[in-house]
Amino acid sequence: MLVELDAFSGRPNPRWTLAETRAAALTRLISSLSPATGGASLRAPGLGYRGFRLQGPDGGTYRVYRGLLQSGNGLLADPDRRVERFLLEDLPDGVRDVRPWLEGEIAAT
Amino acid sequence: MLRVEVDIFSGRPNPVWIITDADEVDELLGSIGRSRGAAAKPGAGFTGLGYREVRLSLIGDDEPRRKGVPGAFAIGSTAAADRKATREVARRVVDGMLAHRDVTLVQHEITPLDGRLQEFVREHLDGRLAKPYKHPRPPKAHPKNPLRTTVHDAKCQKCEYEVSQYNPGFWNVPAVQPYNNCYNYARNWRTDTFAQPGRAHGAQTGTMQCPNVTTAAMADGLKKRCNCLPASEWPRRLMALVVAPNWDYHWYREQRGGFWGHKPGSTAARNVDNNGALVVNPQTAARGPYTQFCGYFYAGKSVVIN
Repeated sequence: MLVELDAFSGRPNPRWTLAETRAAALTRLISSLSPATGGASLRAPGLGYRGFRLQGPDGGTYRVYRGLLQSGNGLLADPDRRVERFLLEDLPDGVRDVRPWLEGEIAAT
Repeated sequence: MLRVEVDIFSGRPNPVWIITDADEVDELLGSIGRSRGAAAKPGAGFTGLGYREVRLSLIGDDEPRRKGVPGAFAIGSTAAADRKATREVARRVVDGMLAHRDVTLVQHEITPLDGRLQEFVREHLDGRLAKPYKHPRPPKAHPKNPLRTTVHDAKCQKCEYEVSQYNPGFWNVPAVQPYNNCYNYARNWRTDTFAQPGRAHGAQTGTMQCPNVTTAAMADGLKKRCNCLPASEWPRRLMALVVAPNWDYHWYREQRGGFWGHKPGSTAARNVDNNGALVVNPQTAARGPYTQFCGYFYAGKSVVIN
């Protein structure tokens, strides 16, 4: 599974591939999520953290941002932000120094 | 400005150059618009090994557009309706190749623009299209562009620069948006390379602080505000640089109408800040983590980015 941290403006967003076991765990985690309710929408700001983009081996794509996961037209709720926290664990070396800032963004309401 | 690429090679980079002279661009596009049948859809003609076509594309969102001439097209193409006209205009463009070596591009390291290359292109262009060539008269028209306005700088009245009509539609299409970032937008140069300050001149920085990014950008030719650019640098942009310390940088470009446009990374170009408010002052706009304001810069036509 390919992961992109969507948070940069000038520099390219970092992209990396999840190990098979991690990808399988993430797939299970996503499968456990329930549909979002109450007219929730995934709208990220222009500058700063805009979430993660995922591309599965089957070509399926997801966007994850602030407790919501979008897949096609479907929107899933992840109120504890387990998916974003899961992906934080896999940040590549080049952007690990921004992890504290990302943790703050993910913790923000 | 107009980007020219002769689609001829397979392994090494194709010959590429930039026509910066507005009169020349205007005259060229005018003649293509008038000739009807000289332009073709890129990639629609011969696609095998060897000379294929000459591709022309406008590099900015406020370049003057000619009726009947798209923003990107091919000439010297076997797909063109008028074989003679397309060959003649392609020959004319290739004849001008050596006059445009002043704008250095990364492709020139492996494919330098020289007489040998020019002759090679001519020979193979003629071989593909095989028709007589007549050199046209040099351009006379004065540059006009309704999408740009020259203004006096409010901070230093002695300086002038150009503000452009806000035109996000140029950037917010699948072929452009993912491959061009804030630096591309602010400089108004579509490179499709996610341009980095200084990279075109071997001066890129990995340190995301105001002084470092400023130095890198100035290696590309940017000048600090109030260091006036001459009229020969038309069109001249006013850009603003901010940084998210140790994280990233971001650029804005002043537009016509008293506001600023920007393009956060691969997202859509826009004129609003993180609060959804029109950006009338990049120093006070909501900028998320881009907390440090580095300053304003002019970018004239000689600024090359990649």
